[in-house]
Amino acid sequence: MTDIIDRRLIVGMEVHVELATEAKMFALGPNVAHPSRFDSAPNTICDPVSVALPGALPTMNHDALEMAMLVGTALNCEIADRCQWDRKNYFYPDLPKGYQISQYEHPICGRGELTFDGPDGAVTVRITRAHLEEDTGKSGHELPGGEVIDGSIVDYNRSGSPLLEIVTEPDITSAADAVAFGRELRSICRALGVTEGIMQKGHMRFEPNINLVLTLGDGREVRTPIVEIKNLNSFRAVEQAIAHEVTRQEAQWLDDGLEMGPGAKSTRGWDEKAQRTVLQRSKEDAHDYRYFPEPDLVPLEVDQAWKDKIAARLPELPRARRARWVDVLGLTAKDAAALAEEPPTADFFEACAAAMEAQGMSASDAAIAAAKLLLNAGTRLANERTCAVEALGITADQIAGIALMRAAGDLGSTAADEVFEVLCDSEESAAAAAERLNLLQVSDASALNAWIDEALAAHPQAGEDFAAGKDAAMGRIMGHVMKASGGSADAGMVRARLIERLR
Amino acid sequence: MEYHPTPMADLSIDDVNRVAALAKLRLTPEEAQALLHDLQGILGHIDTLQDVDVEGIEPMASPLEHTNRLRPDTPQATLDKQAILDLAPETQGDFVSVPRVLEGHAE
Repeated sequence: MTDIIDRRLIVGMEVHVELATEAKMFALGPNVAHPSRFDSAPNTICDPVSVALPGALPTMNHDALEMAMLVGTALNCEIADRCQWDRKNYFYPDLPKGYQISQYEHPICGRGELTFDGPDGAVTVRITRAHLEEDTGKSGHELPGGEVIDGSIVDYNRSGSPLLEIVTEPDITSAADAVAFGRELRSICRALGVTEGIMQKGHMRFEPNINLVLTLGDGREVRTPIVEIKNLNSFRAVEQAIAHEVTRQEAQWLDDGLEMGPGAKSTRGWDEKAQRTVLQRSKEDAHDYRYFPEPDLVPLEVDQAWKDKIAARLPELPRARRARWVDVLGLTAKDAAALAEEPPTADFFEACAAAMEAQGMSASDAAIAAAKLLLNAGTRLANERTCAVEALGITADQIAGIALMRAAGDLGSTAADEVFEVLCDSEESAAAAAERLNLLQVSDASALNAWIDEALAAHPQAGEDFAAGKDAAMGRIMGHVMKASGGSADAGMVRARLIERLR
Repeated sequence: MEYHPTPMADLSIDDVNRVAALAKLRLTPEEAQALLHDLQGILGHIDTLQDVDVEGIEPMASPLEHTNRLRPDTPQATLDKQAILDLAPETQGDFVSVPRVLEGHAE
């Protein structure tokens, strides 16, 4: 066997997004992917269509269709003028009808593309298509509480939930890019309001199709058989499963020399505990789905006016928003990414900056001040209270008050943090809180001098050391001044006075 | 248009058994033979239809003239859980119970 001198990873993605409509895709039962329904008890939100009672007929959910068009438009997909539904036939206990209604030849969204920022720069991935279908019920292997059982159990709550399946071309070349792609797509879907995007709840499931191009010592290139990994529901699993496949496929090729070709594709699952992929199905027993047009639903026609209406609903997309924050407002890329991660936080950040601008700060100063307050005091408190920054209770106007006092030199940074925390549980203004708590920064010369005198009297050695040029000695003096002033002394002014008096 | 009573030559008993397996049907050899005969007749008829010139005609997705029959996104009453469980051959707690299936399935 020839040596492998180089390897190139090729990944295409299939992503299932559960759309958060109120009702199911083709039925009137409530949708488990809607935030208000996630905790529904087993088999309590089913209807005749989702458990396939004889005679039950499907109808199309208008909002599910528009959500699919919205995502397609955000991904620059061609929205079909006309599309139709097809039956995908297979038997499984979680699919009571014996077929899934899907879109085979005529999906609602055609070719498009998504650009995201990977660790090595911007990457554009071509979108092959995005089609609508219905989800299956959910099989389990243990009862709630963990009691292990012999067979499997099925909860049909999820049966019939709208699913958008997005398929990409094999344009992804690293596990890290696959994750960055997934995060960007999640971010877009959340910004569009089509899903909460909570991975643990299965709102998004990723299925990478993976193979390698191996360059051999004799200059030949061979492609390993394509492996599809099913149902990854965390970004960590996506990254680890792809990384594992790189190693496994290379070893497999050295072992059996099998190359990509008809009949060589297989499906594997990710075993989180063992950190490896496990064969689920090879091509030999691949399904034959016998697709045919769904006779119970009429085709869809989408005219230009409808497409325009959907396009007009598109908000600024996350990547454009982050770029604007960096390029126009001067945020760091890291801060912009942190603030844009959750759309409600991003909106709150913009509201804070707008409130500061309304009071006379420049757009850039306002944005930078808002980012600093939200990512420091805000994030710390949000972690402590296990809620989102925008849910802490402090308002954009209150935060603007803090920023303005900071900018005017009326509030020190420690005092600002304290006011931030107090305002989470108070409706007073930042200024009122600072005054009530005696946190207004004192830069009045006589008051500062009195505290400095006191500090030097208490720590004569530190005074001498500082005078002799030891900057570190200032810590003890500053500490005393801050203690004496209750944190209200303007640290910069104290430092300036010390230098003026002792050096 | 000419009707072809002669069966399509390339449908075999293996095809019949494969389609039956996909449809989860268990056929006796006699039933398979009878179905082979019937299916060959049906496919022969389809063969005849293939002779029709459909140049320039859009494939028909539905015999109905309607399109876009959409309903508002408003959930309605659900089935009673017990009514669903009563229809299942076996149940376990609030769930329908089935023979063990592969984890992480979903097409």
